[in-house]
Amino acid sequence: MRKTNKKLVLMGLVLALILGATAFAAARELTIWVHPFLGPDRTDEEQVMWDNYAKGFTAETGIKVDIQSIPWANREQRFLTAFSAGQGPDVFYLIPDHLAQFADQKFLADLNGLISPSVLDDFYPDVIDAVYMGGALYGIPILQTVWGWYYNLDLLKQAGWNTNELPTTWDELLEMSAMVKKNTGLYGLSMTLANYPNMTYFPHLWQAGGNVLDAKDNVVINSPEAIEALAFMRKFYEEGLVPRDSLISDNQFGLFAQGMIGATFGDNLTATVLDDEADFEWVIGPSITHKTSATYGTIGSFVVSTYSKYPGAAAQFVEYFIRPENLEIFLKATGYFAPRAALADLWANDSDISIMSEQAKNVVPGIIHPKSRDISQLVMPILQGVVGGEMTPEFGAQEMERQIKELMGQ
Amino acid sequence: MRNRLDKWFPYLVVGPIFLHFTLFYLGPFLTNVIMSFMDWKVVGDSTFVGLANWGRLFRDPIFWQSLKNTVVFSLYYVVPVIALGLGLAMIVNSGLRGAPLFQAIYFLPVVTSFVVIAGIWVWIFSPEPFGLVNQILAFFGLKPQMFLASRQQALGVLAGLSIFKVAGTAMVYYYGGLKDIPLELYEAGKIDGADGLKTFRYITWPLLKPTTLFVLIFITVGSFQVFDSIYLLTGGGPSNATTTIVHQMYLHGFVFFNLGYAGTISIVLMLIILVLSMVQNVLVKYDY
Repeated sequence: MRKTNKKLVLMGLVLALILGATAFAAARELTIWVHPFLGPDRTDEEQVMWDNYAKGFTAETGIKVDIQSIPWANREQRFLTAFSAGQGPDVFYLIPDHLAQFADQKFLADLNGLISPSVLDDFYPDVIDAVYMGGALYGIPILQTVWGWYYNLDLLKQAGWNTNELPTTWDELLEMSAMVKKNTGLYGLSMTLANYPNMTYFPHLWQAGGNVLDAKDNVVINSPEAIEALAFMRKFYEEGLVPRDSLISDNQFGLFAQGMIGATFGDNLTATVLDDEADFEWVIGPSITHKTSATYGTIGSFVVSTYSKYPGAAAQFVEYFIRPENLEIFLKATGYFAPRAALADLWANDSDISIMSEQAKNVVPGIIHPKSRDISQLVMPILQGVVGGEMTPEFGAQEMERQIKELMGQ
Repeated sequence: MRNRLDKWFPYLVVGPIFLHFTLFYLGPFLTNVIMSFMDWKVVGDSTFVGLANWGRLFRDPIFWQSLKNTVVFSLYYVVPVIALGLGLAMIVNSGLRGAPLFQAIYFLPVVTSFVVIAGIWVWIFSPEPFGLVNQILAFFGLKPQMFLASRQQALGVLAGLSIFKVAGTAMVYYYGGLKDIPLELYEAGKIDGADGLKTFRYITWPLLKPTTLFVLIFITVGSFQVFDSIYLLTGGGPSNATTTIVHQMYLHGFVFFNLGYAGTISIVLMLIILVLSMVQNVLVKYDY
């Protein structure tokens, strides 16, 4: 009997040692969630890239890193599920509207005090503004995108448009689309109204001189500029210049790649995909100006979770990643723009991407507000209603104002 | 010793099931009820807001639109599934040559991934002139239709997709029901001079009543939970014409993080399904 007790005590001690060792090992490991930035065809290449970052960081600090690639689709649900369980990654990736929402939900750690202040000196001020909320620093930018118009030059030539002078104004965009429709029977532009308005309505709203919220977060979406932008978009649908599924489509890239649309609105990564898929001559066009020049672009940031047991180590990893020599590897592989001046010449030798880099100065990163996702979801069906002819632009703008004000308690 | 085992055995058997029920049904349900009275936060302190979420629900025109869409979807969906499932089962049960192949073909959508079926549906009902149905319409000199891009047609097209996906399941249930009907009854009917229509009216249909009730409640409950086709094909558009209760629940819960409000919507859905199930119980009791 006593022998059995001794055995039990011994086994307990061994178990405790094993558990203790495991706990210690776990204490030295960070979990980082990234997404398939390089696309589904280059997963092996991307894995090697992340492995190299992990190895480099561990060699320098002794802290182990587990970098996991999470699909883009439904990532909000994955974060929410993980955080609900009190788990989730130490470091993950967000764009500004998510960042504001997640910060408001207290999912994100304030990086003030965790990151050396001098690290941010080299970042562009507009870029840094997108990650500050109420004085708290919720993310460190790692990339920028710029959205612009990609033109199918073969189709434009077939339509009789002078491809040496691509549209730069609303009138020219409309004229070019009408010409494509009339002379080829195909569509002038893509319009994906099941997508967030950042990729559809808001660029036109900004170009008209309007906005959704002012600097004090007052709702200003019911304005003459907003009505003008809505009427402009509606004209394309009314006259059949955009695909017939525009009201419910979130992606018409396939139609563009098949040569059925004159121009599509895409980010700088679209160039990479077109290189592989398009069998026609294409080019990135100049900025579109109405009252002002504006386009959408996002700022992707690494953030640290409030659930991280080791926020200091997590911030250390982010600092390691954004060093110019490390960030350059990621940006070169993915095709994004740099958020910091040290890498300003990253794409100087690439003509396609450098055209977009000139447009980066006109980029608006959407609505920076905790309710930005909610606002977008309210705007989408009204926009569909206006463009589809179910309501007038005036009524649509009023409805957007009413619903957003209600949402924001104004 | 044996007596003691006899005493504890039922608890031993029921225990794991009770634990499972408490953890995965009762617990989440009670939490959900609590959530509906709170501004529920995943991180930080949730605050009690009384009936605020319920008040919002009654003032929210998009919720009422989603409720109306769900009911309309259900009306479009339920009767055709029953009719198609029964018709297909009768063909399979007829013993005609090739019936098993026919059965397999109609069951294929049931076992095929919803994403694949949805992709096929988009191609068939594309509003572009190259869409399959629009090409057929053009062949007959008719104008192309907008289908999923039309406020008037979108729900019908989505219901069509669900009918296509589920009719095979209803067929299997009805086939089982038909096999349970004693052949003697048909023989007696024949002796009494009943033709095909009368046989169906006075023998097949009444004896299939329990099956019909089961299928009815099964697909009606399913129709109130419709989400995947909307998520995949329309995103609730155009202009909220296809948003449904579960779609609104998803948006508020997982996109806006308004978990309290999403919980409130889910309770309404539960109440609707509860009432439907109670009606079924009454009908079943009345039937026997």
